Amino acid sequence: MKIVTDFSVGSRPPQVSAGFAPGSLFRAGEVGVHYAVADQDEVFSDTSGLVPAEIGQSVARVNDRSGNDLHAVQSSIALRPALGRAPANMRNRVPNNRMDGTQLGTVGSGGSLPAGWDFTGGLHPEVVASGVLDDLPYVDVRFAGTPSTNMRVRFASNTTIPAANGQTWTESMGLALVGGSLANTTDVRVEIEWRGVAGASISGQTFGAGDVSASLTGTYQRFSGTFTATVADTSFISPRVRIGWSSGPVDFTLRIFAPQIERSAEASALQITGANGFDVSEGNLPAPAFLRFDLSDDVLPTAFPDGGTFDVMVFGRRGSWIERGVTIAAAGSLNIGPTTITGAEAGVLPALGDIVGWTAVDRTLTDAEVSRLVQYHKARGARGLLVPGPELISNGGAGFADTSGWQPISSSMTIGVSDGRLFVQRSNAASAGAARAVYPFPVTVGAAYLIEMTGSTEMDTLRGALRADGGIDADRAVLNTSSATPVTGRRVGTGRPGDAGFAFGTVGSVSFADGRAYLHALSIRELRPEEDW
Amino acid sequence: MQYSAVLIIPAAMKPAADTLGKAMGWGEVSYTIPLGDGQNVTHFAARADVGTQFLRWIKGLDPLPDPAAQSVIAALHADFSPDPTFDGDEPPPAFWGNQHLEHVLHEMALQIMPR
Repeated sequence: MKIVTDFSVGSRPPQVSAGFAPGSLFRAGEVGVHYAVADQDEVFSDTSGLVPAEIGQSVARVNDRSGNDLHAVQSSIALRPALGRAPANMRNRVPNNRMDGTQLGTVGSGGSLPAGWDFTGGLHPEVVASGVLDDLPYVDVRFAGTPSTNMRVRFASNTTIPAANGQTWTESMGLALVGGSLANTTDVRVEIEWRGVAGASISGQTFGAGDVSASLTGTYQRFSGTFTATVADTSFISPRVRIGWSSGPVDFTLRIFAPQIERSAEASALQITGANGFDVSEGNLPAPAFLRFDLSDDVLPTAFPDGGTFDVMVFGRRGSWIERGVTIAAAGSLNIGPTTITGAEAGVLPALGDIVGWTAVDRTLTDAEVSRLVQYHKARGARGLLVPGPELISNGGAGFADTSGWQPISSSMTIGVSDGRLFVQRSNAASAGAARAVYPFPVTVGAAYLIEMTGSTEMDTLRGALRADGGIDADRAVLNTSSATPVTGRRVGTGRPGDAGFAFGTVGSVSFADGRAYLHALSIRELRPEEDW
Repeated sequence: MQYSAVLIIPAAMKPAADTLGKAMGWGEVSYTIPLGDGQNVTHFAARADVGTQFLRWIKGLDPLPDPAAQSVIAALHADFSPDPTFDGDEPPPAFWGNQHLEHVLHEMALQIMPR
């Protein structure tokens, strides 16, 4: 007997899809699965389903709510996603402002700033108190001694918070002077630093808000600063508070309340963060749970003893996806992770963000069912179906008349058009190496792109991918073929720092005599949730 | 304390490394990410969240539960984030997940190969 376990009773009721329970999709005895992790009650840290997973823990098992008892289980510890929770509008990117990991004492000698925070300035600050005041977590840090430079408490590492050129961010925090005086200091400021690829320093990219030293009192005041990135290399933002130093010894205790940094032109209501960013809350707002896959090797499989052909939907906090007609062989499995879903294009998972649920049914879902499923999961933190926008490649459709917009990566390579195909080849017989061409266009860091490419090659393996500096990465390739006849590939690519367009060409070293690599057609369209277009 | 760990093993050592992982209760297979020079698979990687005890074993601070595992550990490249051994002024960046893996691969001049 099939027992449908999800009637939305006892869990947070959907805000839009009142009356719809995904379990109803299986009333006629359909084979399939339905997973929803928002209320955490079917998410476990053990494979037997006996120990509920806690926020920040890895997840070994998610129970199926369809009534088919086809649970998603990962027996290998290294391959398990982690459980998190956050309000639908998760804004604060400081991973830990509730002061997890704080230890009283001198930093480096038994004491610790909150996990993920650090200090620069040439003395050893002392954590003298930590607690919660009027629902605001705080830490008291005493700075005593002679600094070697300006003092900074940084709230996240240089590679924790991705950012990009043109973005506006606001950092805010509560500050109070609860001991000593600011003698021998020059200023106290909310400060950020824009950092480059891999967290590299960018000259002249540290910015502070106005000096608040004269305003500090012994009680809470919230200060903020708003900053806009103007340098192309910008890849991360580093939030901190700065205390300028003139000369001589200092001795004061600064109380720092719950810093927040958000992509916004003004400070918004405070969100409390902990568990290294896996636990985010805001007042009494719902904070639905999600699964965070590491996009490296995490995968949750569901074994289907009899196989079948399924419509599969996955619901994420950046967007949702539907893949129709996915065939799973008998004893095969439906996998979510590491970077895609069984039957879907490569690279889908990063575009979806943290996952709040997924469903598979061995029949065609109606448009009404698709809409209701999306609404059901939107009420639990997901966003709408990802749909592609306008074509971004103006010379790459069916047939090339010329090479406009395309360029060889170096003068050692030549591009041209032959029989409606764009080709790339080494320029002369004297030198061997890669043969690649690029179509530059502004790739947005973090944005998802649906890429379709048809190519063929007379020589070495042909690949095409959003361009990363230094080459065409195998794991980002749309095509990876040595076929002399046209082959079509399709994947979802996510923009990364350093991407500047689309590149295609050979992997290894070739010579002029080896021939050409051909691009027959190319399409790139940005994917956004349907509500964002 | 939890650390993000990137563990990389030469391809020839994958069976032994997976066997060791199984013996430690990690499950059947741990090393699933093929790595190479763009054309050939030369290594396999695992990315996981680990606790302090695991870190101490790998760094040789505590004796391994099974001394026979030493040959695997000797061939293992392990990177932990945050770095628990850091003792300088400005700590190195902290990474998690794929960002951590890519950081390590960049330093080792390896790339992920098609699975």
